[in-house]
Amino acid sequence: MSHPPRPGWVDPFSPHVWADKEIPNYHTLNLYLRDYGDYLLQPQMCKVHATVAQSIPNTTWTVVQFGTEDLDNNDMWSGGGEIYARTAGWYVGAGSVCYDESGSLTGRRRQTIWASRVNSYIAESQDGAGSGAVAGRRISVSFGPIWMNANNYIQLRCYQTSGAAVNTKVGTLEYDSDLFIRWIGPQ
Amino acid sequence: MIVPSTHLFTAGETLDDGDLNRAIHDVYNALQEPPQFVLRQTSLQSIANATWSNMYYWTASKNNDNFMSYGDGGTITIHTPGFYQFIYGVGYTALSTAADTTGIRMVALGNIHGGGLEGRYENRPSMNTGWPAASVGQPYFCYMAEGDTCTVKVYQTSGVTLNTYVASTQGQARWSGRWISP
Repeated sequence: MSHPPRPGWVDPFSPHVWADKEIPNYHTLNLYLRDYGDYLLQPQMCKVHATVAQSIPNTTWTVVQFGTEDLDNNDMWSGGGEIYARTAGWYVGAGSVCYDESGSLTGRRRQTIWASRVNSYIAESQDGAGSGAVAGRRISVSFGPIWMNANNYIQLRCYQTSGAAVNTKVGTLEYDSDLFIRWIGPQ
Repeated sequence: MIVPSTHLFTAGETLDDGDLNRAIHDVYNALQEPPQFVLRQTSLQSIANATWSNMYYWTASKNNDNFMSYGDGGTITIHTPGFYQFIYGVGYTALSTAADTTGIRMVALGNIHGGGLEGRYENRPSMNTGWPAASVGQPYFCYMAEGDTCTVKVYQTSGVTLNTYVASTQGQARWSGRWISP
């Protein structure tokens, strides 16, 4: 393991093989049954959302920044735009960007998930600008399963072609841009 | 449904079959089949222009924690607290008029946690007149407490009332949710 597990968690790659005549005691029952069960009941997960409006320049890929975590059970986020895997494995998730469309109703909107392990985006969604009927326009992109090594990270990046900078819209969970990821298996 | 907690074994503890079943069997059973629902709309619903409307569902291919009684229409109730992942979307029947390509189409979770909207997503209308708008499932992950309720709400600005698409099974609106973790 390249990153020590949290207390009570075990490396999911190393389930215990019981040997003939091996006598379990409370310690091994906890280590090899309880801790594995706890890990499966609460897989590594992280969800963050934005709290401050961010200016997205015209025709420039921009990493979406987040301000608070709704869930982070293994120190996967410590501010900014990156969520880190702390244990190697397969991961799934989704992100969304909410554009403040009150003044910029032209061009395209693109959202991607950037994966550090491959140094490229691994999922994308695209759509046109809004119609002006509502002020905040939230567009999602889903991804996975993707493989991540310990301490690889993902980012939510966006790109818009309105001709000018567009702000993201924040204020309620109805609008706030967000990013979510969870571990689903070791192999 | 009660998702069991793991058991902390202590020194000198005497275990019987009941203890082992609770500590091991019940936990892994719950992991294999956590609370989950998959609902589908099989009868069309009229969605008024520029009005947030509750979606209604009539068929469940999965509903193992009594999330919904069909007399309640489109509202689910949470009985097992925890983090849930929801996926929801809606499609509309084409009118073969300019309404098909006009405005926006939005979905959101409403009346959630007793409050307003969360997880609101927006899609463009159809690209061409006469084409039904695709139903795009949007994912949303959040914590739900026991007793929390939730409804899928939709909003469209075509200028006219639209009917949801139910003509083919694959195009019918679906709403699913799965318990992920306590």
